[in-house]
Amino acid sequence: MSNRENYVNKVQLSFESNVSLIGGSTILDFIEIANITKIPIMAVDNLTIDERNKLIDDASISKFSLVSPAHMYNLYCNTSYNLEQAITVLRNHLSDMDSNQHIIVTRKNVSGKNIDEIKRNLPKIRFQYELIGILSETKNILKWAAHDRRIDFIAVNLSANISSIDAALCSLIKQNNKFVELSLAFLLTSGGDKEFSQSLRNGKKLMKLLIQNRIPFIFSMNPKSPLHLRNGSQMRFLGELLGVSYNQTKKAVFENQFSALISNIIKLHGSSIFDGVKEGI
Amino acid sequence: MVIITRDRYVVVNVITDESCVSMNLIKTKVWQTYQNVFGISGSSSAGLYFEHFDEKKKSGIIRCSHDSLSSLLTVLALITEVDGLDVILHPIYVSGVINKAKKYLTQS
Repeated sequence: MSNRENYVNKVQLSFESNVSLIGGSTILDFIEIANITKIPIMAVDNLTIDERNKLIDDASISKFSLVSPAHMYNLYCNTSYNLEQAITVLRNHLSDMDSNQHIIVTRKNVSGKNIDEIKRNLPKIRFQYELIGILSETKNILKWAAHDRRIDFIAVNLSANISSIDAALCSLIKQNNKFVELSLAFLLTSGGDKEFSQSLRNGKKLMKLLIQNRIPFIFSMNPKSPLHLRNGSQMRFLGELLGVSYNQTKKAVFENQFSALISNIIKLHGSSIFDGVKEGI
Repeated sequence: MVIITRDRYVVVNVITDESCVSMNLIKTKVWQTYQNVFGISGSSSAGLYFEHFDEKKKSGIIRCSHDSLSSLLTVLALITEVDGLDVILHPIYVSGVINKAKKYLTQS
């Protein structure tokens, strides 16, 4: 039996990084499907930390148990842990976690016509969301976003023009430890064969560039309906259509998103002062 | 010299809101999607065969050649609707022996 078959039989930790509630489905609809397809963590777009905490309280009467990543961090991690230790501890806990327990993460996608508009909006949302992504096709905005500490993901829409992402931008992204987020939703929702093949071509070009420049990337399904959710191993198989092998996408469905999340949780924690700075006695 | 092809048996669970799903419609959809993505040549070499399908349990076994396993799993992930009905074809187990796949299906 090859490794590939084992990947299907073995539970792959998955992180859906961009769930959208604009399709009319509720978070519990998504959780129900995530429970069957074994996706323990979901980041919900446009949901603030306060709204999330209220949602967790409301969902306590349902059969699923929702938790926040900050709660997990407080339970299992010590403030003296560094980022790597915290990731290892929480990752081990996730593997043993009850199947009815799900972690809900808050996320915001920032977009704007120019840098000034985004600069004005970012401070307002900074401490209200755990993950922040940027969606833009303008080269200047993307270059600025690659430098900014507050932004975690640079989201790419493969059905639009991707010429703004070039080797220079890739180099900036790599220097600043950002992630490029590829939405695979176009594979499921594209209108016709022409649109599908154009998006696929864009995807293949972008993946080639990312692999050449060794840029960390993440996959998300960006589901608007619960039945568009796919777990980690399914996303990795979809990634094969973009010309990237199964083994090259090992970190794209969980590790990269999870490390960005834990890094932000530590920053948002009350005991945090600044990256690498600890309070003395 | 006769070359014996190695097969893989994929246990698939159909996730949908409906209580019952038609096997024929799912079969047609898998074939169509496979041909759209990998072409007629690809689908012919995949050797797809629907071994068993339980319409009430909403799960079944699909056989394919071991070289085409990743293509089949990609196709299963691509399918979002069958005859206007939203579905997920979720592969839950892969085996090289049909009896093991059947055993898994009866246990689950």
